[in-house]
Amino acid sequence: MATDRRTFLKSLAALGALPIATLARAGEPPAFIAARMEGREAFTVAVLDAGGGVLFTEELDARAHDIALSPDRGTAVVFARRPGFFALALDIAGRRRIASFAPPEGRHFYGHGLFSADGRLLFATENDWEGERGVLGIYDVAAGYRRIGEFDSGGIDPHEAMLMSDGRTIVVGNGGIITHPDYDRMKLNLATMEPSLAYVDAATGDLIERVVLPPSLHQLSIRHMTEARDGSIWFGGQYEGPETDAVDLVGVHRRGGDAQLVAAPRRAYGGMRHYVGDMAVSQDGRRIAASSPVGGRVMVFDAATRDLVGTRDVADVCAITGDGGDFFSTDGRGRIWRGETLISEDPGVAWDNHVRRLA
Amino acid sequence: MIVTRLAVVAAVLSALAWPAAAEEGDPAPVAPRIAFRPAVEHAVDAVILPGYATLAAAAADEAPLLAALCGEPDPEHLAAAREGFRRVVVAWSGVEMFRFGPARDDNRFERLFFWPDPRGRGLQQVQGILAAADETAASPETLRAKSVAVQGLLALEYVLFGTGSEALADPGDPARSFRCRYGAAIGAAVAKTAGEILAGWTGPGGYAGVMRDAGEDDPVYRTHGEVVQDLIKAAREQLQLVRQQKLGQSVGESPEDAQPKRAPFWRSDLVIPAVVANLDAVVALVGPDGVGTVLPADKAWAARQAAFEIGRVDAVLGRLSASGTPWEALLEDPAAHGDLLYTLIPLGDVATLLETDYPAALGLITGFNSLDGD
Repeated sequence: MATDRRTFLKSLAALGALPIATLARAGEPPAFIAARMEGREAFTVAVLDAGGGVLFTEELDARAHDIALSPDRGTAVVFARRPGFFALALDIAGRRRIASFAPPEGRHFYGHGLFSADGRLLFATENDWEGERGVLGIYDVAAGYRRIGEFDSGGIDPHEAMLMSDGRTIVVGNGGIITHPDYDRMKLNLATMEPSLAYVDAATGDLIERVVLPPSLHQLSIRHMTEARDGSIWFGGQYEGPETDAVDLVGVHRRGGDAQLVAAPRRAYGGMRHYVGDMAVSQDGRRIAASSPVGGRVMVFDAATRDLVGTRDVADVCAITGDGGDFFSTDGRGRIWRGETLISEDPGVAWDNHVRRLA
Repeated sequence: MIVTRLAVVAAVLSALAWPAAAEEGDPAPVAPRIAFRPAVEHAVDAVILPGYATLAAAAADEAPLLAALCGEPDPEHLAAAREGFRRVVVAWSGVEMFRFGPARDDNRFERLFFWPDPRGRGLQQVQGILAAADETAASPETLRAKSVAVQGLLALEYVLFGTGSEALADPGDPARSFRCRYGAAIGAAVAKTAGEILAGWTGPGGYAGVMRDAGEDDPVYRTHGEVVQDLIKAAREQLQLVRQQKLGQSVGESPEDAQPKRAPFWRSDLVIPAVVANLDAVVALVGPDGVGTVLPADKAWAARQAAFEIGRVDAVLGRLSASGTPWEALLEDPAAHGDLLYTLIPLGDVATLLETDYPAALGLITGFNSLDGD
């Protein structure tokens, strides 16, 4: 069927009805940044314009994962995929690499991170595998990303972490799964895992609040999240329990309360195959999206009513970010989508799990 | 005319943006359509169900052997219990690759096989139980409420083969009674867990039906292609586990940096029999009689190649095993070490076949982002 689709696209392009933007365009301002695989073995991070056109790329040593943006969005730090041992800082306007750095001995990156509100510090989710605990490594930006310390992440397996809109609270999805770099990506404690959502004071490292799910959901690994307009955190989980279980994979937590799972028809969640790979809020704040590359599905919720608004089925879709009242997303087949519209396709690349908006 | 074209464009655009679930859910977008159902039925009927039935039977046989050892603590009964353990380990190794379905329910996989355990947590807990003579570990019911690490095959291995296990054949040893009763409780717990997994496959609404009846109304699989994709993934992961962890990390670059205790079942000297059973199960599942039967004719060589390469590894391992040299001594012996190092080469070739050739031939290209969790 993919061949048919491409044939359609070609004919559409011939009609001039659909922009196929895969060539570099020098004049456009940068709009998005995402990691990707080119061909079968080359890994890059790419900066895109608003139409999905590639403005420039930077080579990476291995597969990357997410990108942290400085508050002015002038600097991007790309993290290696877990177990990750490198990070690369890019100057977006200058189109050049500023620094590359690695976690210290005994730590590896999980693939996500964030800047402090003043842009002076970078935090990275890291694994202290001998200690079997999660940490937020702290890096001094002005000192060339020298590591100056670490905070406890409030749980095992911190995956995505983000700075909340208050500018001083870091919220961390602690997936709860023990892994060890000597054992590749094997999950070593599925029977006893305890995921959590942790709120950490970015200035002091104090654990402000830690939220766990009911015992029956201890195998719902909390890994990705987004902040809604009202300050509540919407999180997406990956379920490690039996495949036949019907599980609500998306939840909401408001500080001081309990985590609440967001109900949706079983068939809608079923198509996610127990997996949420990315979460996003629309720019107007009205919609929340959860994507699943395993199920090839995006679920879109109303942020206010928590109702399921719709589902979109796109093979290998994962990276997603707000785009006006809708979402900008990419997939592992080189396609870029604005809302429900395919705006670009390059079968020679595979877009990685996350994308960030630069403007 | 323009209006008509625009209407077509709009229709196509909406088809692109909202492709039918069946279309996008179908993992075979390019290759010719393949009837996957026979491969699923073969896997269930000829590999998975017999494999779990063998495990359940071996575990059920071992439990009374352990009880008998407690009643008559002598070398003969200890030898019989150890031999029964070997049968359970070999049977388990034939189904170890199936991490989905009933093995995943109630942590049954981990209850039977808590490995890898880089921090040696299971060993510490088992030694703690033995040192304290914790009576709650000596009854299957209360044992099953404890940590998964103290009720499975590696716990039983320590009881039967670990430090102090000779007490099991010595009626005068004060540590004997508790150690044996704990071992018997593990044996009963293993039998119960193995029986539950088998029932979870065969019972009403069981996982055998979930796989056979893949379709829009199936709770897990939308197509038989998805089932085959999971089967290939299971085989590939088992193969990589054997190659990288069980053999690769144990063997190391040279006899000097070999780490024989990185492989499971080194205490009972069952590393090689377990690995051979792992590999034979891979061939049964995806070889010429398994998933290989649905490969297109011009790609059938891939299944024969996989079976051939694993056959070469089996031959080497069989020869080393027949020599009677214990696993730890094999790794110290330069010639045997070289032989073990060699097996990583054909195993790597099979890994490539399962990662690349099989999915391509069957149109089951695993997504870049859906390949592995993150």
